[in-house]
Amino acid sequence: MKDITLARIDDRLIHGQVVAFWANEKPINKILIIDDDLPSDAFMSRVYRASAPSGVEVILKNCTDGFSFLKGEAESNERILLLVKVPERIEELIDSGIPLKKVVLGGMGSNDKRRTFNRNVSASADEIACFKRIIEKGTEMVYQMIPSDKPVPLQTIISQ
Amino acid sequence: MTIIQAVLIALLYYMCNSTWGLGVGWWTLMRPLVSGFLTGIILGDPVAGTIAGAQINVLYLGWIGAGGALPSDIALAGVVGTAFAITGGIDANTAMALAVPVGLLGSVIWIVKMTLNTAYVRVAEKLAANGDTKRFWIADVALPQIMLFIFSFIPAFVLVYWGSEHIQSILQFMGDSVVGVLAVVGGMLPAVGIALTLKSIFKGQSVLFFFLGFLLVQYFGLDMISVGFLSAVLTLLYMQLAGLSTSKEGIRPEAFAHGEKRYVLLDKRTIFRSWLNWIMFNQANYNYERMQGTGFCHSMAPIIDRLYPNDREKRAERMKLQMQFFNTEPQWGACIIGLTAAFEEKKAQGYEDISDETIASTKAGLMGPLAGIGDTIDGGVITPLLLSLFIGMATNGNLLGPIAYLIVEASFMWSIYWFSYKLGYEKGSEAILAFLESGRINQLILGASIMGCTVLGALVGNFVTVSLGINIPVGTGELFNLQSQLLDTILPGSLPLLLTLGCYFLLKKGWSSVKTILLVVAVGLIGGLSGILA
Repeated sequence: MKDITLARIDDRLIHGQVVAFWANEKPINKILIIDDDLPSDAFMSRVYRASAPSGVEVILKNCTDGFSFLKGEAESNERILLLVKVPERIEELIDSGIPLKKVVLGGMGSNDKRRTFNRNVSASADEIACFKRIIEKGTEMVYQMIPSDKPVPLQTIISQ
Repeated sequence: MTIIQAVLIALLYYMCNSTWGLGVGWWTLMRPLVSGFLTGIILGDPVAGTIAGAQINVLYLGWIGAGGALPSDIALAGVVGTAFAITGGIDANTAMALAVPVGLLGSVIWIVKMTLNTAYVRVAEKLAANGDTKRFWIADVALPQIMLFIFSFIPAFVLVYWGSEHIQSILQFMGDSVVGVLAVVGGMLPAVGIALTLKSIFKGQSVLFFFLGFLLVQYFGLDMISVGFLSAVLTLLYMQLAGLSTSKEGIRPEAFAHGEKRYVLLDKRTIFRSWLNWIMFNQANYNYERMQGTGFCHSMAPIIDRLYPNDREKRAERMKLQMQFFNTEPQWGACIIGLTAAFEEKKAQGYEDISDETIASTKAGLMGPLAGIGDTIDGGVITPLLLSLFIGMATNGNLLGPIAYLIVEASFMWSIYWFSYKLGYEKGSEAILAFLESGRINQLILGASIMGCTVLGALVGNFVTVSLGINIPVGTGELFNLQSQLLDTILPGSLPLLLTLGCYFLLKKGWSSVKTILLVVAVGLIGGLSGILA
């Protein structure tokens, strides 16, 4: 089983907060993006690979491949940042037996189905229900844009 | 301070945060080096303003406001700190200690603005639904900026006007010894600023260059201009010797051979107006719900207006699509605006294969990666490098420091805005990808990191002040001063260097910047009060 240094829900995936803040705070050498559509999008796959900081390998997997990758043997000095766009991916990972102690919610953009959840996070009713299920399964969920922000437990935002 | 001066300073603070900085206000006016200089002009002492602004700026060297997260309001810290320094007649170090809490206070204004600006998205939606490209500025610029003006002007005016009036009596009340301790604390704080900047560039090959910069100043007594030129030459030399600047891959030719014509339905004037709207107003209505969404739509307004001058419904459809959630680094991300302009032009020409989903997903896909690159280069390496260089020049109140910084920094940012937009519009998505894959970005980051480390090392000795105040009695009434008679003879500036590296290791271990600042303040207070530090 691979060890995950940081797991984050953020639909902009690799961007400033991730590269300029988190990657400095928790040194990582692999970014694992689990997403259903991205791995088959040749253009975007290349964009993400090219925009990672130097020395960081970007691995793009769909859900099934992502699980088997994470279940594979841990390599020494391997420090993985797991990025997903939506909470459902996290729930699927937990359900398939990948233990995740803590997940950081970074940002989810607004769209027609979503309403403002907290600051820069918009979420639909389904997604909020998914947050709740993840917490019930014993995974700690916090909202935290950058490392210097105080992490806010998601329960307190949901119950407001 | 006269009321007029306080009004001007409060106006200056609004200008720093406003959308009227021609796209570079964030990088120039907002930096205490520049705002301190301008505050100094208003108060009739630009030299003192430059010195105070430069000192305060060292704490915020590596300050990045990424993705709507703002750790501290550096504009308020710079303007108010400098005003206190000049009107209170206090030295730059003490002003620095006073500026820190002001900066933390100011970040509240940012959060309030980001939250309340969402209201203007509703107004923008109404205008977009009417296809009203001509009056879109009301929602994207006028309303949010009037609100920002009120939220910025009033607190800054109150702080500066009443603060300056009472700063003298507060300092007198505290007494010389307490003010002296504040100066000790203020002299130590720049170590945190330098350490924070090192966090993003102090790795691999650049580590040695930090010590080189330190030694160039401490042992060889070079001034900052010499260090700047020398470090530029050394960086180029190093990269050539290490074979790091020779990769001539560049942009692959097939990216240019796309064969698609631009400037068919759009003319250069329209493209320029779209670009100008972007650089001026990308964050005029920055808000948590859509981030730069309305700013994006505003930059598309001239394009949409040009493509569909007599079709209100079509304009409404395009504006709604272009007002979705969007957030990137404005300079490097400008290629996405250019690319979208090209998409819109193609679509109006009747190319069926460009669907709205393609446009939306390309925007959403590219905005993150370009923000990552932009924040790293502009906020993480280039700006700290230029700031260090020109802050170093401004140490003794040399007005060339802030002025030259303003010119160089603004030119750099405008160039990126322009070339990025043109790359996106004229060459398309393949060219953007080719540029990302060309390796030039990593070369730029590495080169700027190496040079930045050298210059930062040089700054340590100039801006971090901490020295031992311990005297040991030797013989008949003579005192042996540990600082001047021992440490300075071995390695001058060794304590500032140790303090900076100490802060760096704490930050690296996961300490937050606020916690590190508090520790430095505590050490400064105890050391200053007990007389161990002077």
